[in-house]
Amino acid sequence: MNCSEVQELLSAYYDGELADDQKSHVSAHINSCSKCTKELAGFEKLSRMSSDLSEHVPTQQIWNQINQQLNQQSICEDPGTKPVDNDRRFSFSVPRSFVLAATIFVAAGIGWFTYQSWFAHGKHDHFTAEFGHYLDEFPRDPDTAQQILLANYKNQLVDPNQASEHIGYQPSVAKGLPAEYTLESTHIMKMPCCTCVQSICKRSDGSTLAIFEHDDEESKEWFGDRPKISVYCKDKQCLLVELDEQIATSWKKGSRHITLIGARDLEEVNKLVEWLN
Amino acid sequence: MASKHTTTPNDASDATEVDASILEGCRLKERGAQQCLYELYHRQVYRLMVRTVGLQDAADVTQQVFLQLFRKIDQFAAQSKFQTWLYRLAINEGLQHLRKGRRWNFQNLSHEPMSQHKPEFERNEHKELLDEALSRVEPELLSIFVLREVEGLSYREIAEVIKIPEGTVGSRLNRARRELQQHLADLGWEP
Repeated sequence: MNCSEVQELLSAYYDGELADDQKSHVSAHINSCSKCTKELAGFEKLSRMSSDLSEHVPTQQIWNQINQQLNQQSICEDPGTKPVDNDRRFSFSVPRSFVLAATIFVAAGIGWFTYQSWFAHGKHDHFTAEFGHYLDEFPRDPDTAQQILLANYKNQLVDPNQASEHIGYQPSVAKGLPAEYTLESTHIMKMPCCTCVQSICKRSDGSTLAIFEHDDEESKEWFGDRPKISVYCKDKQCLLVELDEQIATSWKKGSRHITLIGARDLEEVNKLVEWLN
Repeated sequence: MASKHTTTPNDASDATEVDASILEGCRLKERGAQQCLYELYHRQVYRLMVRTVGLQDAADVTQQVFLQLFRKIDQFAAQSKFQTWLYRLAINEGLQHLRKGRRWNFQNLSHEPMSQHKPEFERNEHKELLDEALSRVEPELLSIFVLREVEGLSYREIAEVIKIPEGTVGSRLNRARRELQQHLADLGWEP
């Protein structure tokens, strides 16, 4: 064996992963070659250094945070455990006696506006958490992400050309998509903020992009407190959020918003902003 | 010089192979089972993450690994080894984290007071150098090096985790070791 053949097998030799016959050939070469002997000694020294590396101990905090996240996920997954609903709100006002009823009536009167404000706020926070879960999952596995949405919100599969019967306007995807995209499905979804129309589109390589069209005035809560930047794409002011190696963005179109999830880069955002407007 | 036949100090067998009832509990989203699984493997995952993404981000990525694990537990096929599946999940999460650009944040080990004993001082100096050099190695090569040298996996196990042919593991390790030696040399290390 010559040096370059041995060099190729050096790690496998060092780690004891060679068959006996190969091992003896490599061994014979090393005994007569100072260059390969030196390299092998370097590998040995690296191993010694690695075994001296400090052992760090994980803190209890890691499990506490996992536990907290799992609690939040189970709230999102189980509609039965959602924090507050309207029926429950009224059950507090059922009196057991006249005095109790009067007390509750006065307390409810005082707290009514505060409570309404809290409820609306809490509902939006809950939506932000649910949609955040969707945004986290989308870059990893868009199919699972889609299942999260379909499980959480009432929805109906529709033909985009007939969507206007349900939502009162023709969704932007109804006019078609750029040549390299195909429309896979369109759903109407009833979300806490609004009723939206969501389309799943496939690129020619099979990867996925989701387009939402919704008629709420603000779309900030869709992205929660994720870092956002505002940029102009084709004269439209777009709010951009980074999702792993993808982009989520939202912009205003007339009285509605379009939110795009899973764009690859700004070039693709520009192209789709232009097309959908 | 003889080849090395033993595994490294942190042998892959330091976590018990998981009991099927714990996995079933995790599939049913039972918190007790999830905690048991965490207790069994969190040291191993954390150690791997310290060496892959750095001390500063290791806790966050370990958290992500377990959340992913609980989310994807249905995808684990019982005929494969759970530990191999977990390593794959952890390495993928670590690499994804590094690709997102939050890389190279190894916390500098603070200088300990200079020891009267030279060997101890030299060892600490070597640790710092190796930490710095590891942070400069290409992530895919780094993960293979860590699986071998820190976790003590065999070539077959590394091939299963990384999903590469077993015959490729040796040549990747050659590259990893040479790259690491080059970074160490750039940092002033003399073998």
